[in-house]
Amino acid sequence: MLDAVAALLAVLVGVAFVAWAAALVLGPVAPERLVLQGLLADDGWSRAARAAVLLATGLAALGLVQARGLRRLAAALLLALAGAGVALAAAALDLTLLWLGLAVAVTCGPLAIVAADDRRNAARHALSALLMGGLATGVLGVSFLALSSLGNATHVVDLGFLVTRYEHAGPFALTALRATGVGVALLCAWAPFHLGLPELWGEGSTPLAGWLALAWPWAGWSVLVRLAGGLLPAFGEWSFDAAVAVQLFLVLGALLPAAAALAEDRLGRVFALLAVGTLTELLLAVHAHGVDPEWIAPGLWGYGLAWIVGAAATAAVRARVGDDRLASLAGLATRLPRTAFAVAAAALVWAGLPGTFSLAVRWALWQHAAGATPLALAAIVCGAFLRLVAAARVISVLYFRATVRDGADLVVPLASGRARYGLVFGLALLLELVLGLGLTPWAARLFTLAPVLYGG
Amino acid sequence: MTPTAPPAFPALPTLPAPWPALGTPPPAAGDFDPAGPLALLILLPLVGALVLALAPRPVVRLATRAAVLWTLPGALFLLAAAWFGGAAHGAFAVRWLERLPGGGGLVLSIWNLVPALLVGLAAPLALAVPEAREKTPSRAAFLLVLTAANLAVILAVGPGVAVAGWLGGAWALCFLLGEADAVNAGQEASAPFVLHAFAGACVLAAALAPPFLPLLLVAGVIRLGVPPTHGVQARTFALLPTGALLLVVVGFAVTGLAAARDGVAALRASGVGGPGWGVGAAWLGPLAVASALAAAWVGFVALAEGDLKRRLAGFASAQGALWVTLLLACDPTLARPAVGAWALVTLVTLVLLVLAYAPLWAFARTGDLKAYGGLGRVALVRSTLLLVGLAALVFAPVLSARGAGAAALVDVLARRIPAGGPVVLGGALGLLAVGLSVYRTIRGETAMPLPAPDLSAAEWCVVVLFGATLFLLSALGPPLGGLGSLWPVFAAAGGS
Amino acid sequence: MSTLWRGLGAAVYLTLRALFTVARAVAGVDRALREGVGGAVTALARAFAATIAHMHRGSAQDMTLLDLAGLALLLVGRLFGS
Repeated sequence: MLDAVAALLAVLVGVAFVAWAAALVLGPVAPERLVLQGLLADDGWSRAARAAVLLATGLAALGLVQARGLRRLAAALLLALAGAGVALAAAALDLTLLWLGLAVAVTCGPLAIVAADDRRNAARHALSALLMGGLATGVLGVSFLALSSLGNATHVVDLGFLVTRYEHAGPFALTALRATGVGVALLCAWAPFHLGLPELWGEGSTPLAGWLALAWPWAGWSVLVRLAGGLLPAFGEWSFDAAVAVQLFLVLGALLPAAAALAEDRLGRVFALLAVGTLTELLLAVHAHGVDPEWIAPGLWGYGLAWIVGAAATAAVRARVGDDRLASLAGLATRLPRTAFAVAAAALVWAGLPGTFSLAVRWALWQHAAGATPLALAAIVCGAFLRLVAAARVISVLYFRATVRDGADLVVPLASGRARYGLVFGLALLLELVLGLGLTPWAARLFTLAPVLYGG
Repeated sequence: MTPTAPPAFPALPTLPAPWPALGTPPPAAGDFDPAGPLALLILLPLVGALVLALAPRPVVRLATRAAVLWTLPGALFLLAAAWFGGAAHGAFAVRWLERLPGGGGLVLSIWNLVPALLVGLAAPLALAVPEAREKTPSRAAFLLVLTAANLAVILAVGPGVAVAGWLGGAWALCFLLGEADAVNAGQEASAPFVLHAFAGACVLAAALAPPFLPLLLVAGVIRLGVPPTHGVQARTFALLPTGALLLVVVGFAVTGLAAARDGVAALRASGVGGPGWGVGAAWLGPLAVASALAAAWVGFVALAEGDLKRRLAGFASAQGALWVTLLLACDPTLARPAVGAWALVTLVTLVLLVLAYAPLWAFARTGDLKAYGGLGRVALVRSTLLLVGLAALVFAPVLSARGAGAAALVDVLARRIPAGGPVVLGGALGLLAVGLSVYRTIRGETAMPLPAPDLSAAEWCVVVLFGATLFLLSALGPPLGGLGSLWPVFAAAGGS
Repeated sequence: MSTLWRGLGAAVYLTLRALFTVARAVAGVDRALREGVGGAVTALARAFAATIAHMHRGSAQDMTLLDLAGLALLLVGRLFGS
């Protein structure tokens, strides 16, 4: 009885969060304002982050069907707490609150993995997530400490003017800034700090891995958006070129994950690597004097929708076939045509499917940034080519290879399971197409969500 | 008072091209109409493909047989547009601009009417032609996707739709080859897909950064099967079913040649205050020599082939290399009309040759030349069609644009540049390869035991309709586009 | 006259034979180049992809430790270099 009530509460929490996210996106746009005496900003960026994290948390709570009763409710509440941490970090203009939000997010997220998933691997994934998150927040904590000591301030706007008061502290401040970049790289999956993510995002429980993959990049980019916005005066003083500073991440991120996806043998890991490559393209929105939130927010939304499509397809495959190894999926199109179609569609969405929102935002970003340097163009084109070939490899396994004769029998799922995966996949793909084709009046809303107070 | 002489060519219309137009400003946003017939040209085949994918088992066979219907409205619309432009109001009256939801646009104008017409007319033929293996819904669906992709490239206003069309063509080719190569687990599909995806990546780079427009030449060379990509082209032709072969021959040649033309134009414009690398124009000579040698090389390779479809592929590669050499080596005022017109005659003839061979391929189920022979004894009309086609291929440089092709070849030889000899040799060897194949098919004591070797009623209808269409379209009259060339001949006057 | 035609026929036959001989030689070289160069490029690409994929194979803890080591090197290098 208690289990049933707890499960119902978890579902209600999930539904409430999804509805709240929809309301934030579709509802009337309130004017930007400062909250808590200027420590928090309720602007476009924080709303966009809040809506995205609410959607991720709601879907994850709804998807935790393997967890029973109280564990499911506990996991849902921990995810909600972690999401609140990301939302806090997205709104924070004060370094202390920014760090606090991140710390809550990277602690509660792994705890939710342990609470929801009682398989052996889950503990390992939770520990890995905790280590990565801990390293990121540790590095960010040290660099925030350094910057705030130099500027004797914790508010990003004050910091922008005060951090340059000591002439010879420039190199030290820049080192702290580069360490911040590394901390953000760990959260945002920038190569080469992405090496652990195929396991975390690709092998764990689908809803929980999805939450990590969606929420942590929002947290990382929030750090950059707020810090870059506040430190704008200092960048000019130091002649610091942010675009050059992230170039190595851009090039490595475009090439390494996509090249690895060509030789991966598990579908979840392939999709995780394709996601990492797509996420790296957002670095094109970093220019010499900071970042452009109005490019990053739609990009993260597009990435999020693509992730949901891929996650639903992967979950369906795991439920029907038992595992997601590519060898087990050979000839799936003859055995499970609809599931194979879903996987193929997800692979094409990651490679870039015309008419989808995720490709539309990426295309707009490419056009905006490709002419900047030959390196940016090379990263875009080579990354797109490698991801295309990786997607073709997955599709050829599904459609062209013969079925494995001694493979495990297909699992016959419950109708509710089939409906769940189909519904999530269908809705996410429909949303991609509707937004991409601009078929409704509010389709452009996601492009206008992210003006920030201060900088950008 | 002496009346002033009319201008030799009317003022060039300001119409868009897929690329930052070299000398042609894009039209104002207000000139675009909402999505309409042009969007349907691309959307209808895609909807047809979706219907085939989702059709339930009881009706899937009927849906497969009826797949050709999804291409007929497009073919009729393009014919009507050509007739409208030719008969009623003049070539410049053909000017449709449509904007697509989600961005991008489509254009049908005198700049792309003939290529669109070629692909639009080839599509129903590709779906109706007899095949060696039973037609499957997935093959029909991907033929429709290939049609839509090729039309998207031809009709694109901005680079986005063009890139989507290039990559869509690569995907369609991948699925068609994978289905054809089922016994080999689709392994033969991977190399062509990677190559054509690479071509799409070159187009993407050109689309994003004008200094990289010369990469269009690389993309065009890949699509035309110019060495070193001739091996993949040969394997592709040998594997593809007949309908797909028809669409690839026409669609890929048309889009590849347009990309090669634009890439050469970008290379030519570079170093003279235009976009591109500073020393880009200095590459024209060496590249012309390289493509001429490539033409000679693939001509020899085609001659040594024992498979009919691989010989056709070799011929197509040699012709492609020849055309690229002319574009690189000759002045644009000579090269563009020469290549455009020569390509038009060649592609129309290749369509007729493929249609003539289709029942033979369907019967023999092999491309091995040893399986063919004695057609002249049992199928006089079909043999005549093959000979007429061969003659058209041989005399194409003379038949087209008042001998512009021949004039270009003579120009290359007369200037005694290193590209001259090899390019003529390559073209001649390619023709010899096809000619010997046709000869072998017609001659021989033992005829192929086809039940009805000569033209069937359906084929007669196709030939008559095709002939009538060509006759009617010739009223469009060169030099103002129409059947004179793949591209408007007056482009030569503009020099770009 | 018939001698002329016979002579012409013989010349055509000999020319074709020579052309076919050259063509077979060229085709042989072409096949060798395609299999050699193409095969080498394919094998190199596969090896490169496999190496990169192998880099991603360790457990997430190992990766995190690698990240930590890399970060330490970065900071030490930056501090001593600046």
